[in-house]
Amino acid sequence: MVRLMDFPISVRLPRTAARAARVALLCLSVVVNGSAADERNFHVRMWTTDDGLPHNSASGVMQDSAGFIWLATVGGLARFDGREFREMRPPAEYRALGLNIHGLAEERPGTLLVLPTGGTVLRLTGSTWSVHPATSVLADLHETPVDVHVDARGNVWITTAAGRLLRWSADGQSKMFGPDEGIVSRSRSITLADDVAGGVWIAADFLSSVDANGVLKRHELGSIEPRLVASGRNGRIWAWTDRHLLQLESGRVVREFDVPLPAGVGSVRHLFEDSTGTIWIATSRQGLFCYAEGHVTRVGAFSSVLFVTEDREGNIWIATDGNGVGQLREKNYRVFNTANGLAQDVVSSICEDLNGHVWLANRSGGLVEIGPDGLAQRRGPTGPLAFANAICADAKNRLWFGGGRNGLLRWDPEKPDALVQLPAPQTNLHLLFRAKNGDLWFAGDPGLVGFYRGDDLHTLTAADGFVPQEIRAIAQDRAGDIWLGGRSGELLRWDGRRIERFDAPRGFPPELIHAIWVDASDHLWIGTAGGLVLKDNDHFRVLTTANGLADDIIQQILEDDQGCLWFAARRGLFYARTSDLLATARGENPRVESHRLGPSEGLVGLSPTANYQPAACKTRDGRLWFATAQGAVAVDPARLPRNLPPPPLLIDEVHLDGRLLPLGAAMRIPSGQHRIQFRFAALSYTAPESVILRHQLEGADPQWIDTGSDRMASYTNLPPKAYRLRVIARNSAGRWNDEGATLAFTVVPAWWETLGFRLGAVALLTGVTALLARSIAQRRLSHRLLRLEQEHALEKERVRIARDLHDDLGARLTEVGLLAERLIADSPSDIAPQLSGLARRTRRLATELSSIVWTMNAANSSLDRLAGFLRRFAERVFRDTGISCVVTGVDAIPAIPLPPDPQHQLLAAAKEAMNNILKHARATEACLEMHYTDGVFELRIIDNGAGFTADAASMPEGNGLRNLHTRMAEIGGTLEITSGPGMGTKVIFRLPCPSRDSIT
Amino acid sequence: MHTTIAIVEDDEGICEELKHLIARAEDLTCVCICRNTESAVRRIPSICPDVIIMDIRLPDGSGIDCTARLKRLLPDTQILMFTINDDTDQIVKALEAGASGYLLKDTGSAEILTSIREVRNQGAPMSREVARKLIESFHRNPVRSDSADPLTPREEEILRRLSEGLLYKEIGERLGIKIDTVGTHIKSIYRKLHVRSRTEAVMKYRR
Repeated sequence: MVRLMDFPISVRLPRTAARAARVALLCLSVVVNGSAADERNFHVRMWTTDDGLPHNSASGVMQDSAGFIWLATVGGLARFDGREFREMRPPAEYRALGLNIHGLAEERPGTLLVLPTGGTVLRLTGSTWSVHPATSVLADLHETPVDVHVDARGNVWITTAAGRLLRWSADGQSKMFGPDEGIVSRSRSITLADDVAGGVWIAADFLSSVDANGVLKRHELGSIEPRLVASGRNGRIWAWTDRHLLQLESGRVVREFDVPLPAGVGSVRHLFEDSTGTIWIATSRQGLFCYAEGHVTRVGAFSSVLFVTEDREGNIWIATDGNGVGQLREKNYRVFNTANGLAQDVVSSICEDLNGHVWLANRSGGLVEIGPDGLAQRRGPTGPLAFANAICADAKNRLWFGGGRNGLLRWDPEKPDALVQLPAPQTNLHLLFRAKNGDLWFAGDPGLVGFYRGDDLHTLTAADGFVPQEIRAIAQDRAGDIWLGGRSGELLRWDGRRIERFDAPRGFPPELIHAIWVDASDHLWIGTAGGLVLKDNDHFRVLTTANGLADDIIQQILEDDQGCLWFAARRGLFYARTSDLLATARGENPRVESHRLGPSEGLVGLSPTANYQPAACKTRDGRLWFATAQGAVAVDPARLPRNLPPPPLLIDEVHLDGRLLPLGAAMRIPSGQHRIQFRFAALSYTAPESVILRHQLEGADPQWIDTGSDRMASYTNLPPKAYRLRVIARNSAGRWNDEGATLAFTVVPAWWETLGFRLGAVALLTGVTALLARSIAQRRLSHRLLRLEQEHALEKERVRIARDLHDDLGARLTEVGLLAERLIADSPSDIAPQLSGLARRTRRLATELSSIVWTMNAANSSLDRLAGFLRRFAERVFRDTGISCVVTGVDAIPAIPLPPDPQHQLLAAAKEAMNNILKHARATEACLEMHYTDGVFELRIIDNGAGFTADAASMPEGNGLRNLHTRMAEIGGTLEITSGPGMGTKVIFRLPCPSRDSIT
Repeated sequence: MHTTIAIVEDDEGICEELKHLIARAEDLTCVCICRNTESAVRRIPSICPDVIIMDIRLPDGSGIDCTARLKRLLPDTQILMFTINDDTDQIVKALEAGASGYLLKDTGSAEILTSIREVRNQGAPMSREVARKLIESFHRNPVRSDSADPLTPREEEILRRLSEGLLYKEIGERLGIKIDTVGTHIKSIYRKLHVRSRTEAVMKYRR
């Protein structure tokens, strides 16, 4: 409820005779001063065309069901979300005569009725305009709509220029109320008010009401017909009759209020009762008045106010003619300075006496008393001793104050003429404090601390454990111990006998101490130049701006009755919940939530003073007083808008690359290089700058993102998926709308991004790759087959040749050999040996042939088979020749593959060597040794014959040896011949035959 | 001792020479000349020669198969394989089939006659190479049937000495036995070889 002392200049109903004179005086002052109103009780905030308002002349303000504030101005219709104005312009054909909006009402949630110039009644749903059917009805009747109202039942009431009223019921029935029906509006314009029973009260030339069935009834209230009607709370109907306010209930006047407005207010344009019961009166010449508890107060300095309403957060909205649109919020604080009669703005100390009066130390302005009526009055001594820095009331309600150079003075308000200047301390005192036991503590230059117990002065000295230092802060805990702190940053405790020090070694951070406070739970809080320190048993915990504190330099600490600690910091006042502070200090919370009392409340540039104590004081009425350079600020924590509902939140618009998309149930956005922008509306109008949002796009953001005070979020290049955007918001009082708003949409993949296509592409790719691989493999295979076939053909050819040789040639040779031998018997003796030679040669030919055939057999292409063949060959060659032949090493030769060519050459060379032995060696023993070591095949042919000299010229077999060398060289082998006359011959053939293992 | 010889050889020229050669020898008579296996199998059994000179490759089949068939029909006839190459695998197969020895086509005529006479006397000529192969064969295929006897240690020894190149006489001297005993052993080896091969064939057939 509105309090008495907030309207110091007011007209009151007489109460006591004692005050009558005062009242009269004040009444006079009201008249004399004109609009000497207390503007500071309401914080007024205006929005004009500079802020985006279409026109500074507004005729109506309305909040719709969603929470948007709509403004009807001369320059058009605007929608306000707390941050910006959005003009909603009807299509051109409906605003032929200009942009002025005559009327505005909500037909149903989501649909507005708008009356532009030109006579149409328009409906606005979202951003779609349509024409209300009443338009044609009115047009047929040649009536022009000038105002629109929707009653509680949803019936639309349209006031026409001719003074008639069209009722358009919710089911589409229309009825015109004119003079014939009882509505006459010649001298007065029509105003309407809804009543509880579903009917409507109409104040035209006469007062009537139409019930829910459409039956009109005229009411006679008295001699004067009301000018206006307005709906009030609880079903009340207010009727205004120029001087009186009539309260109607159920059609009868139940109360009558005398509301004398000053002369020259012009006409009353609008009447409104807000949720606190205050009646607001909008006048055409003197602006806005409010009436509560019998007092009328002018609010603001407007000239013409056309409309007053209230939003759901309790803020009052006004539409002015020429000053724009305004919002009024009741201040929860008061400032006392020169405007209230103080001599100086600077207040350096505040205290409360035993009667509940507040005393200010106004420096050269002396002592100022603020009584329960809220009036500030200079009291106390005058003259040179009337200088007060610090002030404190003692147990006997005497006021002690530090008078600068004057030292310590004491003054009793009951004996106003008696001013005592205490003998000691004779120094500038900057701290005064009354302990619970009545001791009056003081601290002053230069490091002086002491107290007065009755008339006895005690000064703390080294004997008490006190090291002289400048003490700036003092408090007393539940146990009665006095805590002191000062410039040195040491915390001191006085238990009545000794001083105990808490300093850095004991964990106390050394910062200048400005204030100490013991809270209701006996926690010790210390305001320092480096943050807020909590003494938590034996631990000292520090909170700074890093933890969410609004300021690091804490000059004063007070506690309210709502569980918050208040701080006067260098940058102004702020508060935080005590439990929150404790939890954050102990590390349980990451941050503390601080709330500033600043520009949103109308407090700008506040500088709390910090030189003198007590500079802050809590009075028994629950208010918190802070001494500032701008005066004494008294904050009423109970009035803080803590109970603001969570802000309604909408996802207002979606833009794709700057184009607006229609919001539908299933939004589909194409994928690709697009920028998607979401705009939000968080509809809290109480300090809308302090509204904070958070958003998260499920599917893209892993966490919540702080949108801050922005109202939009944008995303680019979202991959094709289903998404859900969630937004939540917090109003200035800290209430979160956790449910928030959500928007589900899908980013549709382009045809080449769809799963189907991708799978198809993958399948195609796989198929193509497979085909490709197969064709490559097949080609390779066919190549290989071709090569194999060629090799095989070659092989078959060789085998065929071998067989032909074997069959034809071999048989012939055998035959010839046998024939030759047969001939020997019949031939003359001189031919016989030649025939014998012939036979022998033939036989050798056959052997040669068989070896050639052997070589051609692919199965014999290995070293071990060659070895075996060599053995058989050698045995046969030396059979019946008188040369005994021994072959060794054959069985140890491994099966290393040996191509036909080297095999052939080696065989030929070995045969040649053996023939040499037969022909020339004249040996009796021949030996073949075979080895295979380190990948080299070695064949030694050794005989014990005559040997020969290694002289090429003398050797009859020069060619033969050269041939041997050539043969071996051709196949990559080597030949070594060792011989000497009479020493036999050793022929060593070496051929590298790497095994498969050694190759790999 | 008079020996009747049948020749199975497809080459006309060689046949002629062989015939002439045998005609020269007084103790040998050529009683039959066949140019393929079919005629050999048809005509030779009724003639019942002492020795058959069989070419390893004949136009209508393998001389080895023919050897096997003829040996079954004429168990006392000695069969000499006549071959141009000394593919010892073939030779071992021939011996397994029942041949008693082999002759290379580049053998001198004198040696041919000697071999015929040797084989007639059941001297069972065996070359070093064949001996090696037989050792290998016997070791590679351990006896799998009851009817085939394994080689006795003496027989194995003789085979080994043979593979080393010792003559029968030398082997006899080494082992302290007569040449004839060596020959008997070798015959026994041949017999076991035949039995083995025959049994194996039967077993293969039975399977």
